[in-house]
Amino acid sequence: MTFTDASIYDPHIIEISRFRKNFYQFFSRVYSEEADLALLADAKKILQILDDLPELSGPEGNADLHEGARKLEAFFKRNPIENLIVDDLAIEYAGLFLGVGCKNTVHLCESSYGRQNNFLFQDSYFTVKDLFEKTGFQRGERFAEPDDHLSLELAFMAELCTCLMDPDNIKKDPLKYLAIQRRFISEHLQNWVPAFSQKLREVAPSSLYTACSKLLKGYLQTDSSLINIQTEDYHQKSVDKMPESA
Amino acid sequence: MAISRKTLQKIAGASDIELSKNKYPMESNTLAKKSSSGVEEAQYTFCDACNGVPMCGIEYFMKDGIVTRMNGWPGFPTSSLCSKAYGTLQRLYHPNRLKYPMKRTKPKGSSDPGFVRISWDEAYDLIVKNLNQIKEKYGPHAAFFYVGDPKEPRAAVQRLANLYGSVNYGTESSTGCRMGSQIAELLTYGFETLGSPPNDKTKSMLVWGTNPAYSSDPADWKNLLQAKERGVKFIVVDPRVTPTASVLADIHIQPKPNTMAALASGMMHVIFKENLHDEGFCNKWINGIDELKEYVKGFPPEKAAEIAQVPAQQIIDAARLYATNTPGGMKLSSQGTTHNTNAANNHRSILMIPAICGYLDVPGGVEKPTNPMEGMAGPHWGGDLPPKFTYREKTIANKAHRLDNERTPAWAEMMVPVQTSYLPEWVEEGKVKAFLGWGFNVMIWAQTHEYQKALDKLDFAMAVDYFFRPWTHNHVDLVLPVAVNFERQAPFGIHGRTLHGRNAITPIGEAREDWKIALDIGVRLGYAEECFNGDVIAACNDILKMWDTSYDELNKNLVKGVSIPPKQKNAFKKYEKGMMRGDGKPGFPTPSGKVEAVSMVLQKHGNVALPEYKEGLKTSEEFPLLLVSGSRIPYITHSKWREDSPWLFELQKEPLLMVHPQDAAKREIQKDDAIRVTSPWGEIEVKANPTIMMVQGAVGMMHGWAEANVNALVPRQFDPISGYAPYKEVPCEIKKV
Repeated sequence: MTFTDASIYDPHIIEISRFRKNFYQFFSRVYSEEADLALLADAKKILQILDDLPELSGPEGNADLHEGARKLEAFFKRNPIENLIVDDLAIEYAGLFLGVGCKNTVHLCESSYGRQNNFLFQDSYFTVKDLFEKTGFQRGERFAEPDDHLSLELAFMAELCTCLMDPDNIKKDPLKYLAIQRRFISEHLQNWVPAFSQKLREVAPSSLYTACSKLLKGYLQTDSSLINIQTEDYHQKSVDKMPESA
Repeated sequence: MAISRKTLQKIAGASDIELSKNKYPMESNTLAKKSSSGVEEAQYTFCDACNGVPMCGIEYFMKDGIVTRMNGWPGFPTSSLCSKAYGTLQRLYHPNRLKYPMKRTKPKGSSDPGFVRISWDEAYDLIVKNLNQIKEKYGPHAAFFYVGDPKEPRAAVQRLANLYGSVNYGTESSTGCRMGSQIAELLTYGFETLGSPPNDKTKSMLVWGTNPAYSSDPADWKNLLQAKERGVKFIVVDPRVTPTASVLADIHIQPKPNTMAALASGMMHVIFKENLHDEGFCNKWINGIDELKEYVKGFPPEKAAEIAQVPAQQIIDAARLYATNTPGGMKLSSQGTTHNTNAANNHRSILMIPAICGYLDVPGGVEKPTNPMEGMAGPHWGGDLPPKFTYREKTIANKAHRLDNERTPAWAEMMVPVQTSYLPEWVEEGKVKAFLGWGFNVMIWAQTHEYQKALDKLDFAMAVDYFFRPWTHNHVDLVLPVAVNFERQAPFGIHGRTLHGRNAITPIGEAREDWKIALDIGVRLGYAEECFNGDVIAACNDILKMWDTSYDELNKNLVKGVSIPPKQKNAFKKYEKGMMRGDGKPGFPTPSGKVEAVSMVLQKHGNVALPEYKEGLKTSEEFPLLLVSGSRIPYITHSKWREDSPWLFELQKEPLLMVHPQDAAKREIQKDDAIRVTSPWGEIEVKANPTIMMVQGAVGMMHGWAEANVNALVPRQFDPISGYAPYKEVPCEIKKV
């Protein structure tokens, strides 16, 4: 479906896409490398947003978002001086994700959660890489991990959100990006993030990375709802003209 | 979860935050380069599971830069792949692969070493800083360089050690693998050989302590089967009932594990007594033949049989069969005969059997190749080679600084790599301050914990490996991720006189070739030119130029390889023609110019110079069984990466102790019962595997299981010649838990 200047346009799409992009960008960064002070500052911002949205992360909201937010809050309460914990977080990242924990390693690539085996570069790698190429993205040169690494899959979602913040794209075919995102969540992220989160919970119940994985699990469910609402809006609502501010 | 319009508005209002975008993995607003061609490409590499040799050829196929399948390299000298080779593909993409340099952040001895990721630059800076400090404070020989498994980086690491100035370079072979038998061969014959394959001229074969059905490359085993079909007579000496013994043996002798020299002496007694030996060869070419004859007089078959716990008639029959079916070849174990407190002389006694029969370097006997590759010190990468590339002249010049001079002087004189068994003593004495190990595993050493403690005491220790191994790496400061066989180009393949290059895919994460790591360290130590600016192909070319070829040439002839023509016609009895010794004179390359029953080197160093029998570690009422550490099942590899290939792991998932069914029954032990194995030096718990493969009175177990490290039971009582530990003669008892 293509939208012309006079086509349907949701006045909140840019803000909602920015909101979504922030979350995906944050989650992508959590698992791309060891935590630093900037990431911890971002985590507090994310926590504040969630606290401001009890509809999503309160006891009546999404259970995983709620649990994740409380875990994250507890983490900051236990570790009030952030610059003292960055080194420990680097050790924890290495132990959890880089193989120095050996049998307790929690794998960060979708391929490792396949039905047949847990090796890298399995079918999901090829489908994800192909999708990245078809949609015009590629992983950064300095990032030495496979394309189906969690951080890249989440960055891909963030980039698609960025596309949805571009008025030109919105005019052309916003449904295209939403459809890709919906499929990507259901065919990729939802397939393995719950297992990833569960493994982290078993191995390191009180870790920052575990809290964030719980948040991520809940956020994916929430985001699916957001995508559905936006998609429905495009189908149902009609706006004469794009607002000037867009 | 339903999201209301009101919530949606709140969400829109919550979007105005700025997040940091550092360390973000995606390149945005760039058009991806289409890299998927969808076409499968054939590429070539070697298996490194058995490493150094035989380097079986692998043809593999790639899709979008990813290896998707593999098979044997068509036409390659060794290309019948076993499960180990296929296992390397699982290893390549194992999610636990080490991908980044990791630095320890907490003091040695901490429960958590606190490893964190660092960059290669930081890692190299740390290494160079420590090496420079140690050189300045203690001298270069206080840094010990070591190559374990894989063996491929030996040449590059030895070059680095000599450039840095340390003569103290050791290997897993100079700890407990092949070199224990190699020193026996060098002391006795002057050249290394475990025997040569039987051919049309061979009439009998002596196979001792080895099970080629499991451990040789398939072509080698096929050759033995064909020899059997031709009517070659086989004597197989092995305490175990192996497929080799079952299929090949006309006579299978099952001696008590640590009695080889008594058994060999018994056989020689029969051969001399019945005048079945080659008197002419013995008199002309054996140094100390009279002493040997006199010595073996003390081993009539009945006495040898009593010691070895075999029927006396078997010894007589075996001696007659071998000495009368002329010529006889041999196939010896690279280590089965040397894992005991009399390692070198046990092996030497076996070597004397074909020698007294006159079977050395005759067609069909123990043939020595006429045309080994010029410029190499051995036939394959498992040795220490090539001398020029590895600066052998520096090793020789610095001989006085070898750490093994004092405790194993014969070894220090004969061998290039330093014997490593006494590492804890050297650390305690302040002689070693740094340890730089490529692919090393502390479980190789008897009383492993002593070596862990020694590493903890060092100023600096680093490891290069495929995976993080806590039992080893928790005791070092730095762990570097290394490329596997599909990801490396060095070293090239050597099979006889044919050379092969290979392709390499991009290593996973930030892993690097082990050769490159060694060369890069050299560059940063100030040897940029000598280390080819870190370029592994240039390093290979430096070796290849000896044969007027290059890696480019190898690549151009990738599938078929490049053959280097032999320099001379195949010849036999080369000792008569001046073709064995470096000085061109007739004779064997030993100090006496003869096969040395009495070794002049051993004499000089005060060792027992005849290949005498020495009673090994004694069993007792409390410890009535003999433990053989290192027994294994076929087509599996040890702790290097066994657990990281599910295909291999399926073959044996947990540590099992092989025990004869009668020994098990006597202790009311059944299959899979948990049992405690106790020796005077340690204990472990494993599951029982009653099997007739084990001779009564002995038990056996594969090594390298961290949860049940069998070498924790082995004492640090070393053979004075080779320095080898008695891995295969440990008194023990087993008990149901």
